[in-house]
Amino acid sequence: MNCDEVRRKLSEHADAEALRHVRDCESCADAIVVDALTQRPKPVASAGFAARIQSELPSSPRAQSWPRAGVSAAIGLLVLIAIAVMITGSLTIHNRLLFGWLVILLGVELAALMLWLGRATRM
Amino acid sequence: MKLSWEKKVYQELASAEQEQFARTVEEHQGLVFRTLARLVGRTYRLDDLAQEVFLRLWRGLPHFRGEAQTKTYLYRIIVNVAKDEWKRRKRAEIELPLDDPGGGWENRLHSADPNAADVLALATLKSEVDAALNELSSNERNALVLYHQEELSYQEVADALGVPINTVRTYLHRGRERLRQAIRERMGEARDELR
Repeated sequence: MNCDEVRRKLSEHADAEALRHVRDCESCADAIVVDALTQRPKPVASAGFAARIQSELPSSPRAQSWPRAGVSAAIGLLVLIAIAVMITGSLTIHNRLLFGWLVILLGVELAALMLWLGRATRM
Repeated sequence: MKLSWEKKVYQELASAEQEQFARTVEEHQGLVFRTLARLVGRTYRLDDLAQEVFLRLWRGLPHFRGEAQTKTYLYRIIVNVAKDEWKRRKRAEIELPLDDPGGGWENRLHSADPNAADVLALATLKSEVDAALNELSSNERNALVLYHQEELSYQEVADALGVPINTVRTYLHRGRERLRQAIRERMGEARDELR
């Protein structure tokens, strides 16, 4: 039994011989998989779905551009950084090397925070 | 007086935006529902998940960069919502039944119907592919659905998933291989039943 014959047979009904062929044939198994994947399901949205979404929308998205999630964490991080800078700054102000490292560390932390916030506001 | 006029204008603008957005929802709801249906494996809560997709789209509008990316942007949100749903299910340890509420082919093969083998048609094999799809990693499942079902290009799938094109190719290759393996194993079981 060749591949075309098996696929035609399977489109009507299956028998042990066709199944045996598909189990042993990479190409037929792949054809069934791709065929199944390309078929689009057709779930139906409930009636008035768009109207319901519209009624539940918050105010204009422009007023919502600042993400709620992550803001409190960002503020918390900034406060922590400020405290750390005050404490370590007072300890290292007379040591130029340590103070330099502190400034670099602070810069890296702020850059990471900005990157993270930028990512959080994407979606 | 001036403030109330400004407020009125703002409300009108917001209302116009909402009406325009409702049209966007109508235009894209089919895409959202069918993609979600495939990615989350079954249809319960589909309305809630689709609603979450559109609310995220609404919130993300200020950061949206142009009409050309509408679908990719929407697919990215759908993928994220589906991922969150899978995480929720994992936390809740929800068992997923097969898509076919009437049962899989095993049940039918054991039926008293003498022609039981005939109902094991290609349609049933395809529903087995859907069941096997749920067992893949979310990255593989997302890539397969976006590429095959939604007919996105490699680049569009990469953009939607936020990964390089070569990673998409790997997901597709590995995902299809695992689906083939799963379907062949299930066919082996069914063939034994048919003997």
